[in-house]
Amino acid sequence: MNAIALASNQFPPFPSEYLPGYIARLFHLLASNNMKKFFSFNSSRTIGKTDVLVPKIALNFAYLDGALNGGGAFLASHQNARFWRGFINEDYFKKSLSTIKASNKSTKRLFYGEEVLASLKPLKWCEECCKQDEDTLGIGIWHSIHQVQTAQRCPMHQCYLKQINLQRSETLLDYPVINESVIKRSSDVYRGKILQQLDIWSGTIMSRPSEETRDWLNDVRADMKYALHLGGGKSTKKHQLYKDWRAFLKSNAWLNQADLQAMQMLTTSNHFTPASLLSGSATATHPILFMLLMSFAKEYSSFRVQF
Amino acid sequence: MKSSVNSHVDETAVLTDWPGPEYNPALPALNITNDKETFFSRCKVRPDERFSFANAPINERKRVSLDDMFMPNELSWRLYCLVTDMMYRGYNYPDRNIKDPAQQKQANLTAFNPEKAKEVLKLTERDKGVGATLGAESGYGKTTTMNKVLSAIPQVYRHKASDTCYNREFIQISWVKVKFHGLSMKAFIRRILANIDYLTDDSLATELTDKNSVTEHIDKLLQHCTKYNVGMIVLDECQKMVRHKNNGQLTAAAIDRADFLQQMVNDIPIPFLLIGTPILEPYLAQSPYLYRRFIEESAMIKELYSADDIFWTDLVRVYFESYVLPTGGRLSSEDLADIHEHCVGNISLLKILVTRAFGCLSRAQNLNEISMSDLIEMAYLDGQNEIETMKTLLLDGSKYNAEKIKVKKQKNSASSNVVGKKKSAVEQAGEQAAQESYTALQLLL
Repeated sequence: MNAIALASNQFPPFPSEYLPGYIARLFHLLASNNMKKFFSFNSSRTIGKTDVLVPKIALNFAYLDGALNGGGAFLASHQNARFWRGFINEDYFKKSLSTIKASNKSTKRLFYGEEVLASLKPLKWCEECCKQDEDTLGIGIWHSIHQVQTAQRCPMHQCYLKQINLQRSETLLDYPVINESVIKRSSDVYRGKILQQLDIWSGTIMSRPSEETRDWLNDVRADMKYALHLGGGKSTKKHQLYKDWRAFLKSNAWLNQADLQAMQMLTTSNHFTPASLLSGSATATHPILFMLLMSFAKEYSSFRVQF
Repeated sequence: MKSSVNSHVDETAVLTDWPGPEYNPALPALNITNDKETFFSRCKVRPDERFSFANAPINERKRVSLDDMFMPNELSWRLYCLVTDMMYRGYNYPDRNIKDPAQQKQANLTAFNPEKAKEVLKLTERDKGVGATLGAESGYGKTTTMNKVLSAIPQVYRHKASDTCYNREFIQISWVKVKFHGLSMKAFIRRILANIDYLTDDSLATELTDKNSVTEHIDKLLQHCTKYNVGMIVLDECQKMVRHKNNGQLTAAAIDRADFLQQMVNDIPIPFLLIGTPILEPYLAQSPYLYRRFIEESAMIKELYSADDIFWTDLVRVYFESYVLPTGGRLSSEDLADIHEHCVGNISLLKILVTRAFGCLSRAQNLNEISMSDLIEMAYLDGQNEIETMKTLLLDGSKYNAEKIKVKKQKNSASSNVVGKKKSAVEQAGEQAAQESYTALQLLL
């Protein structure tokens, strides 16, 4: 058993705590000075890239043959927040996790487009939640619900969130809790209109069971294909659609920070054309990109969003 | 107008009973008893009450009596009360209660906001540490007794998830005991961590080396004591921290160790119990802080058992009548007096005498012809050298005197060993063994 698994009972995660934030807090709680060892699954393997850190570490809490009580539920709440599980075919999701479990290796990304959304991933926190946490837990912790990419307001207090953008060399290990340094460096959360719309939609989607979301997605895909005339037809119309889609992506300030590289990838890659996004393959489009397309379709065609 | 006495009676009559502290799962885990007999039954090891050793081989009787058998006495009860009281007081704070969110809150504060964590300790007067000392001369059975006392308290307790505030299983370490072997204080801390590792299958000690600072060592220990909600740290052989220069002053290393001890006790708000010889008392007195912390509630044992002490008599009888010579009948009052004269009421000396008696028995030609009184005399002669040296040490209470005696004995060894008396083969073999034991004894002291 590695250090994380062993320590997770002695220093448990708090309800609604953001899993990567908890891992960072645990690292500091143990006063560990050996990061490689701390993040190792056994003596020979270590965890890879930061962006795949979460699901791999999560396995420690969820799949230890019931040794850790409540681990599965704990994982589920975080996976929902991060992966919008209803957007993924359940079999594919399970296969992906079992591959990680069996080989301790990173697998393919579950969503296309994860990499272009980096600028939507600042660490966010709520001032009211922070005050409450300091009273009860001694420190301000990172909450998973605030880290949903589209979130602008705290669902508990309805106030706008604060955000801190990590620099390239930084990770959550540098900010395990919301302390003075975080407060000093934080700014008001980005409040784009499109993002606000996406937040309302994602709030609805994530509050529903995954199965319902899957059924809903099939209907929405069909509706959008029909509204955008993607079932067949003239290629000139398609060409115009793609052109307008790219213009929509560029003109709307939905990205939290200007990210030219991401924008270029989004507007040039075949993976992110309306037809690809609606293809419904097992490896799905990132929900945010999908919702952006919903927003585009709503503006561009007769498509209407219904839940 | 009511008198003040009557008024007080009226007030107490309407007061409700003290509700007791909040439920803390760490306390039932200690399985504390307030009944002396119950404690005795938990820690005593008396195979002779269940079996007859009359037909058991000598080496087996020797092993069981010297290694296994334990008779609890007033000292062990007194230590049990001291230890459990310290643990009880140590655990009775919200931040030591795993059922209370304050426990994890304090863990967070300790790691991320040490100043605020210290404020919490200050409010409960724990910022100066909690400690006690068990001081007694070598041979009084401090370590053996403490080991048995601690063995009556479960060292590792695995709490169910329902015992904790956040519904997770929790491993509690009630106590950790380590010996100070003249190591550096950093190595000493690593040894405490290694002890915790052994109990929990953790690997905390491997993360520290001598390259890490003293503060890092103490911080790490604090974090891990918090992690396992450690109830008490027992430091044995603490007299080895004490070193003097030729002019009688403490060496710089000894002063550093005292500073380190003070810092450790200051920063880690759990009870510490020091075990050592009486030399520890003046050492701690060098620092008024340490003296107050550790001597306030100490158990300094300086007296030796008297000849008519019930425990002493019982112990001697059990050793000789049940194990050494089970077929030799009861010890006479003269035998008891002889044994007390040889051992001056000291348990280690008694054990040396018992060891010698077993040695004599194993070398004897005809066991049936040996009487109890002969065996006692033979055993004494066999171990006379070391018994007398240690006796002098105990009675004088000074190691320097013992050294002088040792030198004197070595100078006069040719004449002192044989005083107009022809030595038997048993005595000659005993002498050789005595020399080996003497060397071992010097190492011990």
